[in-house]
Amino acid sequence: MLFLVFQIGRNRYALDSRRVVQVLPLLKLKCLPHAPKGVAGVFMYHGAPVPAVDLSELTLGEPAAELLSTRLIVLDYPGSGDQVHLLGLIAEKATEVIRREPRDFVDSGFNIKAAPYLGPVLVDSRGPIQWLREQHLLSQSIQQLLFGSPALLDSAAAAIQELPSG
Amino acid sequence: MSEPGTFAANAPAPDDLTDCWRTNGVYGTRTCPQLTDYVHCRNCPIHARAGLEPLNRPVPAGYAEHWTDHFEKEAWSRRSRPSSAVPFRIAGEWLALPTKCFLEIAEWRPIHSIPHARQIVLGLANVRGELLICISLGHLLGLADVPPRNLLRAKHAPLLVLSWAGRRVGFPADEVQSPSRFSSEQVRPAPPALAKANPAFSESMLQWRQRTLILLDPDRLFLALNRNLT
Amino acid sequence: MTISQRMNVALLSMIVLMLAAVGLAFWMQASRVGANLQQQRLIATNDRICYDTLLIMETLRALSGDPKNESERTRLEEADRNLRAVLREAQDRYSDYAELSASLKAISEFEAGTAPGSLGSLQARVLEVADSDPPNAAALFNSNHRDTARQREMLFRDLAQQVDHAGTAISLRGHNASVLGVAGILVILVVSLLIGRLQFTAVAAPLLRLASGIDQIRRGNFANRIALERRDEFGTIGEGLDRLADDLSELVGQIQRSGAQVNTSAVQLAGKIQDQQTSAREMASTVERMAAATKQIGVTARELAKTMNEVNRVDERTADLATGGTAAIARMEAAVKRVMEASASVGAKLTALSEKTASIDPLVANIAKVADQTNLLSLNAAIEAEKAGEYGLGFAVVAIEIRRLADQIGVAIYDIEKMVKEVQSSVAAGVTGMAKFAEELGRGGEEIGAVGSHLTQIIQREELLAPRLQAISENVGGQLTDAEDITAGLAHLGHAVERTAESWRQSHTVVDQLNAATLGLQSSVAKFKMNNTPVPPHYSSGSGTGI
Repeated sequence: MLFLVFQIGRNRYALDSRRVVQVLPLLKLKCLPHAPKGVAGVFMYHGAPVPAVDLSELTLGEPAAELLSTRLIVLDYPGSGDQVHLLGLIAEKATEVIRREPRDFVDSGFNIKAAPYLGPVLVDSRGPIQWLREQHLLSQSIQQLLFGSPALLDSAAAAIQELPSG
Repeated sequence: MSEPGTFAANAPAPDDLTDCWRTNGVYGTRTCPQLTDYVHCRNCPIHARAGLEPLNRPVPAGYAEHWTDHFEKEAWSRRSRPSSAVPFRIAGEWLALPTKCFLEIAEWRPIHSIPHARQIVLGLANVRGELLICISLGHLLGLADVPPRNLLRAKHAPLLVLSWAGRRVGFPADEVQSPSRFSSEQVRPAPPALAKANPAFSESMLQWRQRTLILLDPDRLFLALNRNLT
Repeated sequence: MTISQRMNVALLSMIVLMLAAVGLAFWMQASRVGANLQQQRLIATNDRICYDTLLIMETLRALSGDPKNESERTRLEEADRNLRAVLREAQDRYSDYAELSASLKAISEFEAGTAPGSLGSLQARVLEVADSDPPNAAALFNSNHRDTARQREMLFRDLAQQVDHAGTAISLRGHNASVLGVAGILVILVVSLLIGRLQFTAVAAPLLRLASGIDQIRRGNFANRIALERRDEFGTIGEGLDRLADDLSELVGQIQRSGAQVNTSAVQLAGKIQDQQTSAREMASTVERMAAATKQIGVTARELAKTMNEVNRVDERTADLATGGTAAIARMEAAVKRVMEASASVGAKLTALSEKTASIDPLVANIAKVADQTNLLSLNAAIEAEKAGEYGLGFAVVAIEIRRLADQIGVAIYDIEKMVKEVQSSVAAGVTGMAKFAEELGRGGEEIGAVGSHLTQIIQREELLAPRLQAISENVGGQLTDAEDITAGLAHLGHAVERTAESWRQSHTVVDQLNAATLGLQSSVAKFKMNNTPVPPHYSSGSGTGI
């Protein structure tokens, strides 16, 4: 199984690559008004608006550094029912993939209520890597905000189309 | 991992990078003990991490804007995933086959003709040590009017190797382009007369770079092929 | 004691010796002439005595025949008086010659004496008989004059013999004076030769040591020191040369270290470039822009080569000037000034080169974009291959290869930035070295001026130094020929640099030439013998294996 590895702060996390649609360079985002902490904005992906979440801001409260190694990961986010939404994740040092079996990860031994997305842990020569379960990443309220009302995203997309890029 | 809760505090510090490939690596004294395992510094994880180091620099001016523009264009429908096809030219006609049915696009190589074979069979070619039946796709589709033997002499013609439903087959093409993505909006139905003329054709047309390709259906193509070969 | 004082003393003593020699010569001449005169006078005295004695005899004969003849009597008295005067004078003069004066005394006794047979008794008896008995006078004379004549002849013979002896003695004395004079002149000659020899060693020995010291410096041996330890002008020149050797040794050491550093960088850069060229195919457009920048560096290198040619021309002119003697030294100072200007220009060119390397930064930023895209491509390829499942296995291998390619581009960026930093620090060291070189040249120019004025003074006082100076100026000429060789080598290096800039995409051999040229420069610098010569590292440019 292939995992995409990235960092939040100084800790490394892994994402199931089957969920990943494409890894993009850090794009210019359109800010969403009154967006909650962690929601960085919206970008256009092949003509469709996609919301982006800054993992650093979401978990640590600090926005990700604007470096080449900071990437925008487009992934399939399971919605209610059979619905699948596209979601952008801004992650630092998203530059490597690793091939590991799920059994290589072991349970971390405790569950944090506020962070249900933290999964089992793997240790390699450079230290631990924690499986990030993307489907539990967003709180209900944020999911509702981002995917509950397509009209919001469409209006944001319209705003992007009207404005000159940048 | 005896204390799972503490790993976050013990996160590895950013290592001090050294250009060991120039000191005791392959560009230096070649005395690094790791070389016996990795043979070349290219295969060493230290080299790989050094290669990532220049990416930890600020985004150059205009870079993000360029890629934002790039991904904004080329509209896809929200639910349809892009497909991929390989355009190629046979007997003056541009055709395309889905990328997934291609095994390889090989260079030209001699095709040894088989006596008493059917007309569409050109012969056998050696591809990676395995014998591969080569056909004239133009004759299968009824496009070509040149004798198939002429195709044997057309050097520099790439050999396209297909693998579908357990059958491998190769055919020479006049020209081949790199795989291209397209969305379902770019696919239009072909004129009905075309499908009637030859069952191997699908009824799909593909708009590609101001050109209209005939998008072949691999199922129909191999059905026609099996009928011709057996 | 300075050389001029020494020269003055030598000149003065030579003049005194010359005067003494001239005095001796005069004295010799006078002695010889005096001896001749004395000899002639002796012969004349002899003749006079003989004549007067014979005259007395003849007048006596006449008086014996004619006693009344008064004129004969007067003649007799006169002759008698003359003879006595001559004899008295001769006896006085030749009293030194015992035998001669004995002979003279015998003659005067024969003339004035009363012994039988002597002229005096004959005269007295003849005059007495002539007065008393005139007719017997003649008979008396005739009977006695034979005996007297015989005595007279004996005396004359004795006198002639003694005169002859005395003459020989006189001429011998004159000869002795000549021998003495010649010996004196010989002594003067030897003394003046000694003075000349002393003078020669006082000037020639330090000049020889200076010439050999200059020769050592010309061969690049800065470890040698002249150390004349003299307080005269040569001491000053020697000290100046030693100080120059110290400064040059330090400077060349620095250049050697810089050269070794530049060479290390160049060799490493060469190996990296070779490896880089294979990666460079993946980023052709960026590399083309880099080549354009390198071409600009090449233009700068061409200007550098042109400046080197100017330095070469100045050196040739300096060679011409050196042959011209003292007047050329003034022009040599002007030439040194021009070399200073040229070296300032070289410094400026080095600075420009350093600025050019700064222009690599934006190109590296572009390569970083390529690295970023390649890395993204490898990630997406790996993810697509994974999603394609069994169909994607082959493509997964390609994804790994793309990832390796991205890593190599990243490592290349890492290496390029490090090397650019190294080259910049090397060039900075070169700029410092050029500034130091200009400073040394300035001091060298002042010292040449000082040496020039010293030389002018020495040449004005002593023409003897001219051939030595000629030899020195020939040495300087040889040095300049060596300098021309080095300049030609530098021009060759400039050419190699230029060619590298034009064809680094096309040919590895040009990089090898650059390497060979820097190694050549190192070996030509390495021939400067110093107290602690650094060992230049040797690399082969073919160490990179490429992809």
